[in-house]
Amino acid sequence: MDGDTIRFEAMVRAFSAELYRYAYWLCGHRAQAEDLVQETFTRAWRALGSLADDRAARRWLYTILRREWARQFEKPEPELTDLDGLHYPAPVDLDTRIEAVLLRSALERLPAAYRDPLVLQVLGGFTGEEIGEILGVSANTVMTRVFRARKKLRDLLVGERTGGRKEGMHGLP
Amino acid sequence: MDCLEFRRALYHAPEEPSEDFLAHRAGCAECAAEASRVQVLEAELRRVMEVPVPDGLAARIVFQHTRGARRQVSLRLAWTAGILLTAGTAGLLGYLYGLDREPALPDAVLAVVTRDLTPLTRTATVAPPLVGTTLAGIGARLQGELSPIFHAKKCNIRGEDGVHLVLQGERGRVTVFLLPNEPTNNRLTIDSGRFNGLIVPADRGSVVVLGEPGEPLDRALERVHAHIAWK
Repeated sequence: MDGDTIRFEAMVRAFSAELYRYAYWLCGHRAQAEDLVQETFTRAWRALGSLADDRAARRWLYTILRREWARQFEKPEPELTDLDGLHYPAPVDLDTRIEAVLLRSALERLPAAYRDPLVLQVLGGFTGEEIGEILGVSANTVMTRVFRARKKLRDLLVGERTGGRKEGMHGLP
Repeated sequence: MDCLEFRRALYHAPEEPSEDFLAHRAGCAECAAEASRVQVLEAELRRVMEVPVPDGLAARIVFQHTRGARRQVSLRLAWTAGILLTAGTAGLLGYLYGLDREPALPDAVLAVVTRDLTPLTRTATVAPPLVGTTLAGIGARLQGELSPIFHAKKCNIRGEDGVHLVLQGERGRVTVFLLPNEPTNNRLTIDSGRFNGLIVPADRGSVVVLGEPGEPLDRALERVHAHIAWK
C-alpha cells in the first residue's frame, strides 16, 4: 500500500463519522448524507496532493463536503427564513427522550443559515474564523448567526413547552 | 463586562468562557442562572446532533476507493500493454479488458445492499400478506412458507422495478432481488469480499442472492424457487 493510500485511509477512519453527522444536518437524509461523505472522500483523494499539512485535513474535508453539498443539492433559498416544511426523516436508534425529541425538532426547524454554523461549532468544535472559512463568510457573520441560532432554539423550545407563550430574554436583541 | 455583554458572549460560544465572563458570572446570580440553562441546553444539543453513524461507513468508503484505484491501475496497465504490444497482441488486450470490466448488474445490486445495511439488521419479520402484496407488484406470488422474511420492499435497479427481500440464511441474512426485467442466460457469481452472490436466470428475468462468505447460496436459491411463483 503506498503512502497516499495509507494517508487517505487514515483520514477516512478518523473523520468519516463526524463528516456523516455534519452531512446529515445539512441534508436531513441518511442515504444522501452517506453519498455526500462518499463523494467528499472521492474528491479528497483526487486533491490529496494539494493538502500540504495533515493537521489541516479535518477542516479541508469539511470545506470539501460543504462545497459538494452546495454544488449538488443546495437550492437557492431566502436567507434566514424559517423552513417550517423542512422534514428530517427520523433515523433509527435516535434518542427518544422528550427533551431530545423537542430539541431535535427545534433544530430541524432552524433556518439552514443558522443551523449550519451552529452544527460546525457544537459538533465540529470549530472557531468562528474556521467556520467562516468553511462557509465562505466572515467570522463576525458566523458569530451573529450562532448567537441567533441559540436564541431561536431557546425561543422554539420555550414555545414548545409553554404551548406558544414566549418568555422574553432580558437584555437580548 | 455587563449583563448584556455577558449574554452575548454566552450565546456566541458558551463553551469558551473568558476571564471576564467567569468574573461576571461569579457576581451576577441572574446571569449565572442563565449560563447554567444555556450550558445544559448546549450539552443536550451536542447529544442530539450526534446522530447514529451507519455501521461500516468507513469500510464502505475505503472499499469504494480501493475498487476505484484498482480500476485505474488496471486501465493504466491495459494502455501500457496496448502501446507496447500493438502488433499481434489483440488477444492479450481483450483479456485485460475482460478482467477490468465488471458486470453492471452485480455492481448495481451490491450498491443497493451496501448503501443501507439496515434491512440486514432488522429483527422484526414482515407479515406474509405484506410480502404477498409486494410480490404482486412485479407479478409474483408467495407459495408456501418462506419465512422468516425481514425485509420485503419494491426496489429499482438500473431503472427497472424489482423486489428486495431479506431472508434468514444458514450463516446469516440473505438478500434476494427478484428482477423480472433483467433477463440473463448465464449464471454469474459475485464476490465483493464482504458479500458473495449469485445471479441466475428465473422464469421471468433473473434472481440475485447475496450472503456472507460461506453462506450456501444454492440452498437459498432453492428456497426462493420453491416458494416464489410467477403469475
